[in-house]
Amino acid sequence: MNVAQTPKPAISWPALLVGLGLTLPLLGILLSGLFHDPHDLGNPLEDETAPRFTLPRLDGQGTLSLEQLRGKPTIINFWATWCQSCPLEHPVLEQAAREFGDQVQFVGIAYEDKSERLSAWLQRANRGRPSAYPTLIDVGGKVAVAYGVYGVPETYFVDAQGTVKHKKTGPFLPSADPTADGRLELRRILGEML
Amino acid sequence: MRITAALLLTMMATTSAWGQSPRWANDRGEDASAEQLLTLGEDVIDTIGPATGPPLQGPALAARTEALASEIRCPVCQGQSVQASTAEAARNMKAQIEALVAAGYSDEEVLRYFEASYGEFIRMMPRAEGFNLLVWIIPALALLLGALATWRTIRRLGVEQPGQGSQSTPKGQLKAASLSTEEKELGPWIEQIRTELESGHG
Amino acid sequence: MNSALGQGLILLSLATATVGCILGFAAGRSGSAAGLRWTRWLAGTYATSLILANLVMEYALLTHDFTVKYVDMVGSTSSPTYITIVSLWSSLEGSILFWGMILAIYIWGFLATTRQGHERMTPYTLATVLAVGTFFSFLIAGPADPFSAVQPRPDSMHTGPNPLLQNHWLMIIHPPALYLGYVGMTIPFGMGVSALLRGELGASWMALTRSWMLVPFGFLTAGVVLGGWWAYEVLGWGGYWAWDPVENASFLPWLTAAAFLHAAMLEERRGLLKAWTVVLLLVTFALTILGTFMTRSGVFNSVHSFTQSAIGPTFLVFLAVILVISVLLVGLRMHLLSDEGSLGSPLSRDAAFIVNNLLFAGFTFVVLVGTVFPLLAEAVRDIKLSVGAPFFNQLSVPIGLTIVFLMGVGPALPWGRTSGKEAASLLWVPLTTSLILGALALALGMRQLWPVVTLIVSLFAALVALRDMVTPVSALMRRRGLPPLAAASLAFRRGRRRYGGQIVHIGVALVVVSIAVSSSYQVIEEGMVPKGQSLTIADYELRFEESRSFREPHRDVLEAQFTVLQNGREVGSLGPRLNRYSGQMNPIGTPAVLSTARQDLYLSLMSVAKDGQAAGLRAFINPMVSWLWVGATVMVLGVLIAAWPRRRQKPATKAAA
Repeated sequence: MNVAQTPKPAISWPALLVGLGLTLPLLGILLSGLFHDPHDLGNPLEDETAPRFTLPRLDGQGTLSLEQLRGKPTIINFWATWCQSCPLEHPVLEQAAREFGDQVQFVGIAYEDKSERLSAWLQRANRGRPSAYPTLIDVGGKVAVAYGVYGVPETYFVDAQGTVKHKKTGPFLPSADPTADGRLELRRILGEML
Repeated sequence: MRITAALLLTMMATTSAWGQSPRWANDRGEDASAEQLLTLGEDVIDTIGPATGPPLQGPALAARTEALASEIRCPVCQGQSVQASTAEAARNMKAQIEALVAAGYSDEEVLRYFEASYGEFIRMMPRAEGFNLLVWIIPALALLLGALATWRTIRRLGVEQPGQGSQSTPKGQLKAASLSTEEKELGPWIEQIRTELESGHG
Repeated sequence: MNSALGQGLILLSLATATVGCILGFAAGRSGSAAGLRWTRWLAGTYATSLILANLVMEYALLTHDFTVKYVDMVGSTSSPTYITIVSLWSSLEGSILFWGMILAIYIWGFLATTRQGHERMTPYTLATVLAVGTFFSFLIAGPADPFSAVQPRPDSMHTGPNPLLQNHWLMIIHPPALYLGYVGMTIPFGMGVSALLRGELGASWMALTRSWMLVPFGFLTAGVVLGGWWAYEVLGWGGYWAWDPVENASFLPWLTAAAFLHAAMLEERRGLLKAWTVVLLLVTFALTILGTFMTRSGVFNSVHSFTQSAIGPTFLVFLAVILVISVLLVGLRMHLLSDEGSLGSPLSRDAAFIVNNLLFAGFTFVVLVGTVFPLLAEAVRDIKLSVGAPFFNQLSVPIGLTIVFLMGVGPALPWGRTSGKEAASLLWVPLTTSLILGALALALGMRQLWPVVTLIVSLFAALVALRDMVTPVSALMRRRGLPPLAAASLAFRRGRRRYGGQIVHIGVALVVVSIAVSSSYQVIEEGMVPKGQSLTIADYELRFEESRSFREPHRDVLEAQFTVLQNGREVGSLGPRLNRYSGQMNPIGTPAVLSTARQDLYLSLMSVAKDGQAAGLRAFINPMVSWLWVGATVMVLGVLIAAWPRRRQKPATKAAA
């Protein structure tokens, strides 16, 4: 063995530096990951002009376009009958639409769903009363793509000038806990918009 | 809140309060007509301007649509491209890509259109600019440094150290202890075959 | 009862692991024989108590004892018995318990192989393994306790394990294979730590470490491929590998383990790269923990992140401890593991091995950077982005092909010095043969660049491997006049390790060619097929006959029957399905596959129109996919041959020379 002839330093600095240089950044990156929700994908449309659309109404009364709604803040809710939390959210939106109907405009856009199914469902959910706000049919999902919908329900808040101010991913659910109550959350966002 | 929602979902799913009949996904939306499929929304022109290229159709359209669909991530799937996924959302998006390409939009414009609403996440590969370049630079740099270190190692170890030369055979020196039975018995023959091979060609 | 018994056994395992760990390090320092004896006894007790705890859990699952928390979570009286048995590893808590059992089995095995000899190395090894065991027992006892007694939920909530687990039999064996691979890396890790702490790495210790690495490496190979096979058979997109973060996580330790197996040979033959070889042991283990973190923390957007739990931070702390200790150990002790030998010329097997290690390490780094880059981008730019298949394909194709090329060059060259002329004469035949065959493929209509290059490079490597297996046989036949079979059997027995290695190489060549061809020449057709009519793809016609839906105990099934005609002749029928599980919003498909040696006809059902009058079908022709599974089987077989314990020829007295 030639160790005796050429005694080497007991600490190998290059190895230590390379090792720490590789592992510490990796640990830092993983740590930062713990503080981010991988499913929270943000809203690239925030403060951008809301994408224009013209879609047929579910009730058969012609079409509705975003431009027709200018001047009033608009709340666009993407939903579907096959979505499991939408039924729970529906009454919350209905209620808000009745309450704020003269100040804001609610619009539902059906996502990957069929007209007859939607009509029957709304009929049942509203117990025969007319809906407080219109639902539009988005055949081929083009408007959902324009808004960047990942899943249902998603709700977009557009101000009177046609700018997207806020996006809610997931349902507004009623809850006895004030910090978790979707009704209060919706009220708060509407308050900010008005 | 998350947990409440999750619990609710589980309860509903298990008691199937809302499930009338099993509903099979991928067949949820209205079937779009061919014309509907090729119509572009009003928002397209606001986002990426008018198309600059010539309209496209036929096999060229299909080929470019498929290539682009492989570059765009399916938003409701996990890590699959729009091309790979069978989800309805992915098929809708593929139809949208086809409509854009057919209208004469360039690949970059199509990508920008989806990026406008979905964010950079929608690209299967990061846009090659700015900070993102690091995802190529870091591995390239590491490979380069590794290659340098390897080359130096080969050079350093290639020089026989004093005191060892005497044991070296012309074929280099193996640790005697590690010679397997096979090598002890067969080694010379294999060497001979190698020599034969060499002389055969040389 | 089961609860208390299980918790008791886990506490026993925690106690024995902790004490054994401390005692092991003390025994390693003092060299006390009694200390080693006690450490071995504690390790054995630790292993036994974990195995018993697993049996208790199985018993609770089978008897539907819903007062045990984990049974209450994943149990279901309607699940078939085999599903109930495997639901042990269907969810986080159970899988960590199962992890413990696999570690226990490995510990038993390690204790058995070190009954004699290696007295200086085993204490530190056992201490390290038990330190890891302490962490996992702590998890089972606290944060991920599966045994705690609970008030059972109403029976309607007992819906059984994750539907993905129930969907296909491959999902039943894929996780255990992967676990056997992951967990098995703990033993070589302990052996590497021991080598650093002792500052010595003798030939016999190295040989033992190599064997203990080969076993989990074989399982990991099987686990990774089974995962790909499962994706192919279940996910319905016609592919088997998507560079998903968790797939990457299983691939990373495979790469470093492969690097180790080659570096270990260089160390064994020429006494080179000792420190690097040990570093690979540590890195491989750290990557398995990183992989577990990726799967279980919910930090990564992945198909496989089934559970998002609070266990992520705990794993990160553990990973940090492992990494920091490993770096410090290497930095402070690697000078003791200095190179003894010298290297042949740059044209030698030695040099090829060193370059191969660079490429394996580089490949690992590329995959790691690509996998964690979205996290870095989010931390720095605060945006989400995807690093998906196009990125990984772009970089892995050239690196992978260079590795395959070296897989041919390395074994073709002798150890030590080689003259240019000699090297040329050794490489000439396989190189020209593969180039000629590549030209032939070109002439037969293979037009894409990468598949042709892949074919040439893989053929070259396979030819070298074949020649390496045939040469000793012909030598024996000529020199000893043995008949072919006797010569082959003798050569095989003498060089079993080398034969194992070359068989692995042939398997790799098969896998690589199959990946290149199946991904480059895939054909896809899709459409709505009305009843009685057909979808045409290549020379197949797929006639939609009927659809039916029915209930199975744990799922609703919608199946569409297709008659397959090839050139007008009926060759079979396929029934792709959609399955719906309770508690699951979207259906999970089961594609139907007609496999032949040449290609797979792969049908994915997308929808059935409401009245059952038309089926939405996506059909794929995936050429050569069967060869991927064949190649992988050959690889595992090769590993098995190389790892099979040698009959003891001489007493292992000269431990740690």
